[in-house]
Amino acid sequence: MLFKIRNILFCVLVAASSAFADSWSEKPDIDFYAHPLVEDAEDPQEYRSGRITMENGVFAFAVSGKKYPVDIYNYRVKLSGGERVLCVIEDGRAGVLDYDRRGPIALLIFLFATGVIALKAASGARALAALSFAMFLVFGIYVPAILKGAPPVASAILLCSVIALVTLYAVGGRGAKAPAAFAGALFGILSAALVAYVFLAVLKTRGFSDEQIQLLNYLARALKIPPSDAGSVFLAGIVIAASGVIMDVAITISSSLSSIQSVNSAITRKNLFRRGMNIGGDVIASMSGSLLFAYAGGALFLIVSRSFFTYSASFLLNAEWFAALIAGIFAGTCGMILTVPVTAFAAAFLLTKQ
Amino acid sequence: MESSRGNTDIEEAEFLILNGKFKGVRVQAKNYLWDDPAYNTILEKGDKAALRIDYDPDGEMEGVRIKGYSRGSELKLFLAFFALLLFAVIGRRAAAVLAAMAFNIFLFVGAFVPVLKNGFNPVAAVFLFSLLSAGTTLLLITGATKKTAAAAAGTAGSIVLASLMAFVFLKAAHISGFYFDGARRIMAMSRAGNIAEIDFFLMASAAIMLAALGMAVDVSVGVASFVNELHAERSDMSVIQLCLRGISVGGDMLATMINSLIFVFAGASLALVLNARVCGVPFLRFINYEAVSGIILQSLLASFVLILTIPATSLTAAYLFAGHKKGRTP
Repeated sequence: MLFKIRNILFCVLVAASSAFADSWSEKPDIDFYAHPLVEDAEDPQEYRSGRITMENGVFAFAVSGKKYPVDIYNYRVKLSGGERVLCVIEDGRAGVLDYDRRGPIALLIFLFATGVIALKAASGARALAALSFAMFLVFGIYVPAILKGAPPVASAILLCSVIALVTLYAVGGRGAKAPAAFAGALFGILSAALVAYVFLAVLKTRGFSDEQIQLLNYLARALKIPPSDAGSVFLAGIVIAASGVIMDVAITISSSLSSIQSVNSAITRKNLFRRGMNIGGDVIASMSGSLLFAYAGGALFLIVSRSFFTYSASFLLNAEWFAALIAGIFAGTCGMILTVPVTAFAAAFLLTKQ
Repeated sequence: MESSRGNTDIEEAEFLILNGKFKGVRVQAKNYLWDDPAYNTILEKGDKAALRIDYDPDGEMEGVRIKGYSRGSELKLFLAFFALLLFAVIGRRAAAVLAAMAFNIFLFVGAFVPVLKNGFNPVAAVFLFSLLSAGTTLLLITGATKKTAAAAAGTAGSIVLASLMAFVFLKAAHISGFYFDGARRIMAMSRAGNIAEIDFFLMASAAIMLAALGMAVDVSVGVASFVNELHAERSDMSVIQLCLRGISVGGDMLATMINSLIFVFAGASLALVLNARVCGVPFLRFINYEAVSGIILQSLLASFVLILTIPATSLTAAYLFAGHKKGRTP
């Protein structure tokens, strides 16, 4: 019951504060005492995952051979018996907090990996290994480093360069493919970071319309911990988001040029560069929509929710959230475009003698 | 500057309205300054700001509020820079690319979002949107050919398959859609009667298809052009042979495309993961929040659309190009 009241209260608070950064009629921090993350932090508990069983119409929580009678703490969890849930054990009773959703996630990861490997056995497996390693670097190394005080943007550039190095050598293999792609990707990542920085500075946008950035700002100030500027984490997020598409474009172009050179080994440096720019044009033409849709899909709920308070085109163009959304698409797409000539040049330089 | 309300300073500022209905009028507005500068609009004499002006039906000004920094003209400058950069790198083709992007944005803002708010089924809406958007993008970029038809059919097929998959996995993981950022505000608006009821579960599925759409079109164009070239070179190849070669080349493309979507979602969840670590939320709890599992499933399912696109496009392209002599191998 308590949870229900808190949820509704949270709803009303969030809806009431027109949380779109810039000029606030009320500081947004007032909402955060009821944020689920903060709630769980204030009340540390031992979480247990187990299965719900039903006997004679009574639910029980079964974990490591023991059974506990069930209380439901979250009104969104609807039990029917047999589902895996997350509980806390208190005074011999199990409080159901949430569903355990790891099963479907693990199955989907398995299917995804199987699909990639089935389509492209060895290089698919290497690409997947590189992707998993990259995710480990982002969330396992980079995130703790930021909380120890590492500068978010500079570390993000370093992080993405390391990821690009590992991924491109894993996918590109030996030869000139990987170094050419790496040169292009490095330039692309640096220019995406620069473009994002200039864009955000000129538009006086720091990502504070994002609820998670607000919460990070609030937590960092309240607990007196890094990062000192939550806005720089927003910029770092843009750089990381852009690096994926930049690496993909770089390896596509350097692989194509490498296979052209292997078919026609007499091709001159200038001609190979030209072919690279042609292929790059095709890639840019088809990939330009990709980031647009990836961001729109990822933020669909936010976009729809914010469209309520958007009364005109000038409202939209001046809104902080819109500038923040465009920043990611703009920086990523510019970085991708600038990757093309550098990769084509590096590949032409490395693959031909003259 | 006068001080009031605890940690707030209030500045009185005077503005000359530069455009719109009240152009040329001088107005006064209060600028609230909080102790946290992140939420302030810091203005100096001569700066531009975006104002919100409320007026009654007779056109009488009722109130003026400072909305924030002025961004519209700078945003247009950046768009111009983007167009120039595109022309510099890919030449004349940039016109078609810009036209396709503009069309997609207008279709999204002008049709897709309003239709969602009217309570139209989100999955049906995103399917129609995909058809229109992919069709137009393909026509503008690759022209009206059999290749375009094959790519469009492949994209549509993979979007349908992906929606079924999204249904199954989101249901299995009990994703209601209620906890995605922004969902609560939408619900508050629909409870207040401002819009129709939106099915959040279907909208979560629609978001996945939308996220994957650009990449799916991309992969399907690549596969369809390859099958087209191969058929032109070796017109004796059967549907099955063409299809298998298409799948093989699609696999090559896939290995170099799996990063794009996952990194977009990873970059967007950076602050969320930082917050969870600051709060000391254990991994078992964190990954089972609906918002967190939802994002992971979204990014994986959107990437899975790419895998589905490859066989779907190879098959349709092979049928379109070589279907009339099905089963006859030389």
